[in-house]
Amino acid sequence: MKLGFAYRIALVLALTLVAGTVLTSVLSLHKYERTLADLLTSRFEFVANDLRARIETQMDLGLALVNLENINDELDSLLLNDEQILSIEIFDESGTVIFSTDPSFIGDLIAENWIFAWQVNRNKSASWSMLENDAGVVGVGLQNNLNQNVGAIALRYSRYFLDQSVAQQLERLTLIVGIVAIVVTLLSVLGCTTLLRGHFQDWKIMSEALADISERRRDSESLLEANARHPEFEEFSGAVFGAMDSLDSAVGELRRLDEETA
Amino acid sequence: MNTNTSKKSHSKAAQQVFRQDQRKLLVSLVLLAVFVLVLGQSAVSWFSLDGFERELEPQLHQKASAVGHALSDQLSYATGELAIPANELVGMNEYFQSVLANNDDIKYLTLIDTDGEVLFVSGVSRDELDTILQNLAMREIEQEQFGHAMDEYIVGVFTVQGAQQDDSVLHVGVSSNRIRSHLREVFWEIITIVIICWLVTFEFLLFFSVARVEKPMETILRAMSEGARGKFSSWLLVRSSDEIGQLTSSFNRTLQNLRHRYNDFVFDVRETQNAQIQGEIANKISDVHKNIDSRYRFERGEALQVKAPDRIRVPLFLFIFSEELSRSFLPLFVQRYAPTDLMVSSEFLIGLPITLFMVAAMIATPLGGGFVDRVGVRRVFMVGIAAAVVGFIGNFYTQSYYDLVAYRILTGIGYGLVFIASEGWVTQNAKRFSRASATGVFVAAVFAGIICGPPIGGIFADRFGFEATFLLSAALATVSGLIIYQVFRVSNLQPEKPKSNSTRPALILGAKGWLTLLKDIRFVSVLLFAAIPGKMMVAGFIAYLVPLYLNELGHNQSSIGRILMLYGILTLICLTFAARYADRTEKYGTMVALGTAIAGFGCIGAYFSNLFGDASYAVALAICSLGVGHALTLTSQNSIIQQVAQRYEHTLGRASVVGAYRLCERLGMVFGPLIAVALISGFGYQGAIVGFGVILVGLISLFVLTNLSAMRQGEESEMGLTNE
Repeated sequence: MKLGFAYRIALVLALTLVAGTVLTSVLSLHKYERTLADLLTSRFEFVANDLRARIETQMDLGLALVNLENINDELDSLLLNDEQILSIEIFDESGTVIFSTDPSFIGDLIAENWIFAWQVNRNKSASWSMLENDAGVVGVGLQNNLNQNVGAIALRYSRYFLDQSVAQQLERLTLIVGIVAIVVTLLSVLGCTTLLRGHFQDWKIMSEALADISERRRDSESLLEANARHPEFEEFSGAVFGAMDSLDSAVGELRRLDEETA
Repeated sequence: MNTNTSKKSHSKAAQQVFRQDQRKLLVSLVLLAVFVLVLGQSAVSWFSLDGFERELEPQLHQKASAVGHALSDQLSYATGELAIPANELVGMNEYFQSVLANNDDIKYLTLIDTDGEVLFVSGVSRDELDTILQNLAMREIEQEQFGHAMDEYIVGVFTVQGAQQDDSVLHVGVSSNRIRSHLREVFWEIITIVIICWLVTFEFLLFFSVARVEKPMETILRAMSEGARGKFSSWLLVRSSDEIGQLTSSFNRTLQNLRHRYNDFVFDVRETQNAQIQGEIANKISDVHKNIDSRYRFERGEALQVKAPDRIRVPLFLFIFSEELSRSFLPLFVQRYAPTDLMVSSEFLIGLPITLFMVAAMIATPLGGGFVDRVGVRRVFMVGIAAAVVGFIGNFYTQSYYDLVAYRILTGIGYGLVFIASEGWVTQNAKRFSRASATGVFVAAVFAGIICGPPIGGIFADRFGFEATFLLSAALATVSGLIIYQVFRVSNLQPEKPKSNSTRPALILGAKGWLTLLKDIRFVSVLLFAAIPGKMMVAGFIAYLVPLYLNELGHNQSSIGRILMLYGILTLICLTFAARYADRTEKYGTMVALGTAIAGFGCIGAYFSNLFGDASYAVALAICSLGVGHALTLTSQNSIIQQVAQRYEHTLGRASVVGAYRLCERLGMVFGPLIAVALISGFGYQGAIVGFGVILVGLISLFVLTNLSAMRQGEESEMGLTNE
């Protein structure tokens, strides 16, 4: 399929603009996902830190982490208060779970990447967070009153809300981008054809006028219009007709000379 | 004769009118693009930002709620179960402070008794708290009117139970600044994308407008003008199927038709002449033939090719864009692979691949120039692009520091070859009196790439990682190669064959030539005091120091890319005006001095970083000064070198002089990162910027001193061209 000049420009224009719009949307959505994850992490970080403060207060009394009382009750209460919390595990320095909202996990070793994240952050008494396939994880380290690292708390929260919210925004943005793409394409085509209409007409008239010159139609509408619009075309067409006339008269002269001899 | 002269002047006037029409068309198309772009982006931005704000606000409420419940539980334990009156709680301010210190988005905490008296407050002053409480009361009344608008604080109110029904109230103020800063970042990214989209659109529109309409139409008008003077030998080589292509075909058909008539006439002449037995008649027939031949020219001559240096614009832009994608994060990418067990500083190891890239490009450029003359622009271009693509893909698969260095060198070779091939194309296609504007096309495409590459690369790397960005570079460079292939196929450009061995440009300038050039004070002063320092700033300051410093100041990849973008934008904006002014006044030396001084003093301004509050502003100021400074110097430097080259045209060759200049100029790119490393090691980042400024000011002072007398006498005599 051969595309006219206006359509080519419109196509490039629309493609660039739509690509820009898609890029904007993708980046905005990415930023939204990060902001939302950041907010969720921040909330659960507070919950984990609050729990840490309570546990460390008890440890300040001289109790070992493994011997603390009422921890399971506190964990259950936190789980009940926030439906987005999936589980809370407290593990010791070797990575063995010693308290958990799911008693079946007690005694198990935690995931390696949790241990790694905790170890990277253990000396900074900082929290750590990660997004797993099915859940977000927020962790905080536990220190006794001698500033020794004795373990950590890991809180898992549901990703469902995050994923659902991102999916909703994606759906919404896809619709908007789709509408914008259609509008942008239509406006580009409309704008380009309108802006180039005059030029197309010019080029078309000149093409027709050139064909008329070849056919020696001196009074054709296209030729007269092209001559009127473009003085340089008039000079050219005049020269071509002049050349044709000269050739004709030269041929006539040849014939006359030929007949003269005969 | 007079008629012909008049027709020529008519033709020039017609071409001027036509050019004005084309400019109007281009402006209209650009305005259309801006309108559609702003409309589309505004709609998407508004819907996305509004939607995000609405979705994120409840999360702040939840945070306030989590904090409030935890604190109120603990306070209720003290005031309820332990029966301590709220106003007698000890250490409350310290407790609130520790909560605020551990949660940077919680801005204030306050405990208020049943009478509304503030018992404890942290995070805000009493006056600020009064205002917040008043607004809170108002908001409760005007809840509906506020709708979803997000306030500075999301306030959660929680009851703290007392022992004797003397409940108090805990207010938790969560700041919405975190969300606002994210949304602000989204907004700036959108603005960046709008600017980039506009630049890309402009590049394409210019390409279409100039290469597909303006230049072919100019060629048609030229052929018509020749036709008006009786020369019908021209034919046009325009291979397109659009409206211009149709017009060209009609034009060629008309002239072909005329040629057929002429050929018939010549046939008749021959036939009639051969049949003649009378010499007198035969002579008359010959006169008729001569008469036609003296008035008209019908034999098909060489095709009138459309000479459009602008055709290189889009592919060159895409290639530079692809290379620039990694600019904002390259030092950080190298840092990942830099070995830690070597006896050299990490700064040196980070700077080395950047330096070697520049060295490779520097060596490839003059060698590529020689090859352009021998095997043609297309082949050099294709080899350059292939090398760069392999380099990009190699960086995607990089396993070690040494891999990375090797692939950066390969990319550098590709970069140098593409650069010189583009210059070769521009030189071959530029008309004699429009070399400056043709060079402007080249420079503008390069700078458009420099502007668009780093921010998009930064954003892309932020989302998809450094390696994936190299893959994108490879894809874009491949697209650039495909366009080039198409452009050359259509243009059917062959390497220009030298007339003899003596005029064939030398690959490398000989020792005598170098000596001659090194004795030329203008050449040496421009090179040493302006060109090399200019390249040093690009490689050492823009490409190396700024990304590292901004990263240390806490900027992410996108933000670094956006700040770097200032350099290209300012250069691109000021370039045309500076070039016009320099051409009008011919004060090239003064412009070079002024531009370099602006860049230098802008960098020295970093010494006063404290006045700016944030050191990032000082960096931005230095970048802006460099952008403006380079815009002033670039075209003027080139003009001076062109004039120097003109002086040695018959002895050394113009291309050799320019080639020598380009080769030496790139030394700045080699030494730039190394100087940056030395300055950073000695004075830290801020001191290094000031150091760069001092170097620039010092060098340009030497330039002024060495050129002062000549500059006073005027640039023409300064160049020694007046009498030559």
